[in-house]
Amino acid sequence: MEEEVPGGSAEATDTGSEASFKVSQREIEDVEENLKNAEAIFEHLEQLPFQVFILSEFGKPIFVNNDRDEGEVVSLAALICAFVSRCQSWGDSLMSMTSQDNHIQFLHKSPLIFCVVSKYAEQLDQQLEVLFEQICSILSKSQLENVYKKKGDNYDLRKLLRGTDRLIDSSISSWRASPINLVDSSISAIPMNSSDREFLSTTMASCMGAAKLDGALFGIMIARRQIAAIVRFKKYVIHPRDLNILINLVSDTTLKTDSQNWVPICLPRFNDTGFFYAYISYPWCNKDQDIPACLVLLSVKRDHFDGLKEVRQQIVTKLENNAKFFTNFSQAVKTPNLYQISQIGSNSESLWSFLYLNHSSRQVCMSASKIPLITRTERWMARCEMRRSSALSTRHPHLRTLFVRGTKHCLFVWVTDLFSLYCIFGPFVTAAVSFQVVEKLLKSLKSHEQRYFIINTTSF
Amino acid sequence: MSGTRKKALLKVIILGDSGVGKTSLMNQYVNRRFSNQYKATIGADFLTRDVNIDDRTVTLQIWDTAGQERFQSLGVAFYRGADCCVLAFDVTNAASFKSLDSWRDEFLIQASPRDPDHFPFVLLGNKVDLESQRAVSSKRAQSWCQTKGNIPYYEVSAKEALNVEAAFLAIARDALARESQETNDFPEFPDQIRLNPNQQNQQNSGCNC
Repeated sequence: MEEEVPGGSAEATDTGSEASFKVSQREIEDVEENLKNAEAIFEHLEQLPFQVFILSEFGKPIFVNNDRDEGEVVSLAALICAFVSRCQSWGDSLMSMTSQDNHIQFLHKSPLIFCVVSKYAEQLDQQLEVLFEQICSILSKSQLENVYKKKGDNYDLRKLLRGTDRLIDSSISSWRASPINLVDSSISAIPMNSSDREFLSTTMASCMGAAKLDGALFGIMIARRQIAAIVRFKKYVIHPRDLNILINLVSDTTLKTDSQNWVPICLPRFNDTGFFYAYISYPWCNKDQDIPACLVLLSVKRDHFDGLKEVRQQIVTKLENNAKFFTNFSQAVKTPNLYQISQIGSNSESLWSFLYLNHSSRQVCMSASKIPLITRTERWMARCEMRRSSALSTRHPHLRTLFVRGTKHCLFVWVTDLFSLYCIFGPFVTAAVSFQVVEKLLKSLKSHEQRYFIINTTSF
Repeated sequence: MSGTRKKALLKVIILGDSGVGKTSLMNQYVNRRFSNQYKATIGADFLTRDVNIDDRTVTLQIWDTAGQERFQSLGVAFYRGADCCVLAFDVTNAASFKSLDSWRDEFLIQASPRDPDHFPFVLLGNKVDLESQRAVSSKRAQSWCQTKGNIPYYEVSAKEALNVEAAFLAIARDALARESQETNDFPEFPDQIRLNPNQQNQQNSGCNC
């Protein structure tokens, strides 16, 4: 499978000026240029591994990825709208089209239409759902539904979304880059000693609880798009999809400073009509140190900024005061100690890579890269294999175990009610041996469970 | 790119009887080409052109619909969300002029714009190069425009590229002026989450896996 470049490739930039000529100019060169550029755009689009379109249900383009300007795909947006609305007028809804190696998926969520054209067919419907929720997180579903009623059908939604392109872009790239994370609505925990994680959680929970801020519901420590700890008020639950929206938000590089941010954000799985207010800080990203950990405190009250600022300070002080913890924590965040396949013990050499998903906690554990899956291309290949295996097991829910022998590697998939496991083995392994290795792997994961997974969500 | 002011985008829909020259007008305007051969539009065509108005670039998204009746149930999505509606007739064909009322009414019903009395229409009388065959006088067209709230009227020829640029420039300028009247795009965050005790128990219920 060819390599896919999230966020587009370098040549995406130079076809941009389709028609910036003056109205008064009538030279024939301009006309040729205009037609040539239009063709060039389509030719370029055809070569991309994927292209996402977001438009209003009346055909106005709102967002396209790959750093393109919506102006270039205006006619295409109208065409997508025509397809969707035509099917709708038959009392039906258009879901997908396939043409050779292009898979086109549609999602009509009034007042928006989402469309992705992709060389990969896997779970495109899920990707569009994720995009819809990403838009909702910026505007809330109720505001999105009302804006056209309030401002007229011809409203240009880009005005409300101004400045959020990069969030939508990074949501798309991370979805494309991760083997199954967003698709399966899962998260992964940053590997930590259980006692360190415990200390982190209880510290966060006690500081949040002591502040007695009515409406402050969650505290989350995020690093490298993984969760170090999460604490909650009473039994409120935050969905992994919503967590991924938060992870996407805090990974925005403009936030990675020692400043504090107060961001209204809708978490659609929790409540798609209203906004949370997220107090976001990178307490240890400054001139003295560079620990990429981000503390997010969530409240439903917009006037909690000062209160949460106080909470943040208390958490930071308490964590820093425990020198042993703080050293371990910095280490765990700076150079995450991922699961090494050699930990399994003898005979594990034939296992090249695995991905384990716990169904009840929606948490994922992926092995550290090892030879021969080291380079970017090799790791990408591995992710594609896992993504395909995952799509396969979603399509065939009765499928429990699968062993596929290939010329370059073997695949082993095991799905139970409790977990899904996707493994890549070397080409010379037998099904029996791979099963033995997997059993040992499961035992090993069980005994180090607290290190690679967040077992308890501490309440306050 | 994000954060910068985006190019304004205007959805322009062009309506009129079959054969009045809607597609020819579009082709002349967008590609500066004219063909004597008549090819009926099937369903709709979509064309794009940028124009510069007072240092702003505006992208026109032009929806060229089929004039034939069998294609007229294209659905509300075609009409709704339009920033401007261009009505076209053939000055050598009186029947195409008489249809204008029903095209205008059809548009207003289907599109249901927020302010129907002041929705921007433009009237184009095409084929003025065939002066000898003229069946609708300029005066007659202008007086129709007056009764519809002073719709601007342009006599154009797709074949000779006469007035086509000027007409579309006026369309873009007018729609842009309306757009800039809407100043309040500040996002509102009025809705506070009301906490529901039931939410405490929804253990990952949103998961659709």
